[in-house]
Amino acid sequence: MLNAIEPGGFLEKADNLRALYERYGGMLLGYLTETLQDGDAAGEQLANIFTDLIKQDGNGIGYSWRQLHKFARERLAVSGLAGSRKATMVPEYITENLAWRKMTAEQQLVFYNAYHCSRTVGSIAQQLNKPEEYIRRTLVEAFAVIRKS
Amino acid sequence: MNVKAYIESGILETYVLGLASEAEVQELLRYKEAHPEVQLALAELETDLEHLASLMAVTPPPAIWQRIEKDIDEITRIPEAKIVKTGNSQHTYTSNGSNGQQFIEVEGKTSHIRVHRAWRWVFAAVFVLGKIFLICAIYFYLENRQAQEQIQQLKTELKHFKTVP
Repeated sequence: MLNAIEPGGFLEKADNLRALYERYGGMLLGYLTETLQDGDAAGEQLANIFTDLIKQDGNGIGYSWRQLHKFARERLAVSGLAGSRKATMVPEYITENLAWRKMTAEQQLVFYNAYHCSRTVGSIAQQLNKPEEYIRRTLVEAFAVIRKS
Repeated sequence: MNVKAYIESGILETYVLGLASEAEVQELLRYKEAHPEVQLALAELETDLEHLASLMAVTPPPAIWQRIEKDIDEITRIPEAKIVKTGNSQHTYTSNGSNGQQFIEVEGKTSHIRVHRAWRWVFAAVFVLGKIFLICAIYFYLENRQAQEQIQQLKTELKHFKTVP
């Protein structure tokens, strides 16, 4: 509902959306570019996601990065743009990134499939022919590497 | 499962990545509520994920925000004339679609108005000019009163000279 000028109204929400965009727009575009493997489509989706935030009465304007990332994933899934890709190897330009470089090849593959391909633990376990517990442990190790980077 | 084992189980990581099932999410929220160490571990993982995203950030071209602004403008336009009352809100919003033009009128009960920042210089100039005019008015008033007194005095003296032989 349009609440234009009162505190928490539409204009304030638009200002807050701009602040959220300033903070996370670049991060989300980076994520989308890798997830969709297409810079133009990523830009299009970035705009759509931020417009959707204001459409849903501005409820997502105070999101943390995790919440925004989850929101973006759900939007991509609804559009049929996420969840179907299955990576068998991680692109070299990704593994050159500081956070990824120190992971083992297996950690990279598990984390890439989980983060960028939106694959469930069960699905990754099936692909790699490993138990789910093993995949979870690998994710824990991958996060530990990111923390140290 | 004890808390340490729960934190190390990988459930938190799957939750942060958005991969946890609904049952796992509910369980995690219960653990989070009851154990501050789970809450702390979760916050650290969220920071890690944000750190990773920041390392892979791509500066968006200005056209993307322009597109978002355009979309927001379109959201504020309502195609048919109607009045929407917003719950407990003190505002009533009307939209008019006549002549193909769409706009929103905002009728607020608040006594405050929003004015463009540029107007402050105009207001400052009007204020300063007002003060100058006031000082001038007082000055000329006093001058005039003094002149009137002098005229009155001269008239008295003239009358006095005329009456003295």
